[in-house]
Amino acid sequence: MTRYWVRNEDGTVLGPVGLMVIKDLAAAGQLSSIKEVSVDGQKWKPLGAFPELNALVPAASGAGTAAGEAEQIRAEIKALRLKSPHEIFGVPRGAGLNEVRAAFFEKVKRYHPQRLPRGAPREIQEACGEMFKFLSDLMLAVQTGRTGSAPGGRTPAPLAHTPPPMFGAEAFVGLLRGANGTYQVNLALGPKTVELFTRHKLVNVQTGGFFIPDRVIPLGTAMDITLTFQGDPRVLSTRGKVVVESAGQDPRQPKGSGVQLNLSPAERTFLQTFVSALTPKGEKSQG
Amino acid sequence: MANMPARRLLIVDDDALVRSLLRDLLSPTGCELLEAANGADALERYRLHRPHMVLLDLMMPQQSGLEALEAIRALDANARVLVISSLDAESLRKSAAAAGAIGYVVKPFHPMEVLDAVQRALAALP
Repeated sequence: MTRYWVRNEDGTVLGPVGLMVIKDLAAAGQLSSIKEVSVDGQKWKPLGAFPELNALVPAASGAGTAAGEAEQIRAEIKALRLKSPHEIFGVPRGAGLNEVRAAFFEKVKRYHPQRLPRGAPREIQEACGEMFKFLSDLMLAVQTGRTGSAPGGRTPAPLAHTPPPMFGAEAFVGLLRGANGTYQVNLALGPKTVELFTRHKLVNVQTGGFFIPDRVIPLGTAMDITLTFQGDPRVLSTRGKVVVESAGQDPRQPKGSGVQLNLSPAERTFLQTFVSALTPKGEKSQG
Repeated sequence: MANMPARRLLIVDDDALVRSLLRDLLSPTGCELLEAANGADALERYRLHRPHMVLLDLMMPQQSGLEALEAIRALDANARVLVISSLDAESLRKSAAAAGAIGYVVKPFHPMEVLDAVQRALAALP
């Protein structure tokens, strides 16, 4: 059986894998940037030299209409509401919390915004968001014992301090890198997130950026950022770059990363106005 | 991880951001954390430090994660390697398992998902 190595435009390599793996990944839209292929991991040829692979990539053609697929996902949510958490996550009754959680992670990933194909229709994005929220809320209920069917089994003691049981999309990290080497960041701006734009002295809405606390992202990291605004239909898509990287070793600097946004004057004004409206009186953003 | 002896983990990912995220996530466990940005470096660090567990990306420049996995397992048949990848297909999971991976986590990952997987792997150690 022939084994293949595939090399992407960014130089990363996958292999050796069989034709079936490539077929499956291509069908899932995960191999769209293959540049070269090898059958020994040493000598590389353009993808076009391998007709059996070239025909597969890109393969996913989006059968069915977006509206139809979205409707199907919503029908699935409706059907799931009638089932128990164990049935939904496909684990036996009496399964331990860790087992339920592992099954939840397996199931919910399919609907995570970062796992949807690039340019997925809005209807599908919304329906997947609803499914993600349904499953996340259910997992939170199981985790906190609010389902009436608490998992059994023995749950081992936590490895470290247990993180808060938050299962929303924003809790999932390891951002996918786009084909151009940048990261995709989606940020919903509302009362709970406005502090990202107001708390840091140097990187804030006044200077055209925001600060991500506790997460240390390498300086210079480029990002494709999509901002949505609670109660406002506008969507702001822009580029950003990490301009502050603080590991927290300096007590005068909070641990985290500051991101500078590339905004037009009109975009900056809108963002400042929106943030100002969300900021409690007496708390001004630090400029 | 007060009730466990100190363990050594090797984080292998060409993406500095992911290494940073995993380091932040695993630091509170008290494990000693090593890092490598490619397969060759991972193999060298494994040879030198014999970590108790490896967290391994699959798509990396030059040497892929699957090649690194095979090389590490050839060096140490008992190596515990958890794959953390943005690629997700059942056939690929089977390939990774056949090469000796003890688990497969798809990016983006939830902190508890990785902590649970690491805990399970380390709990099985003598």
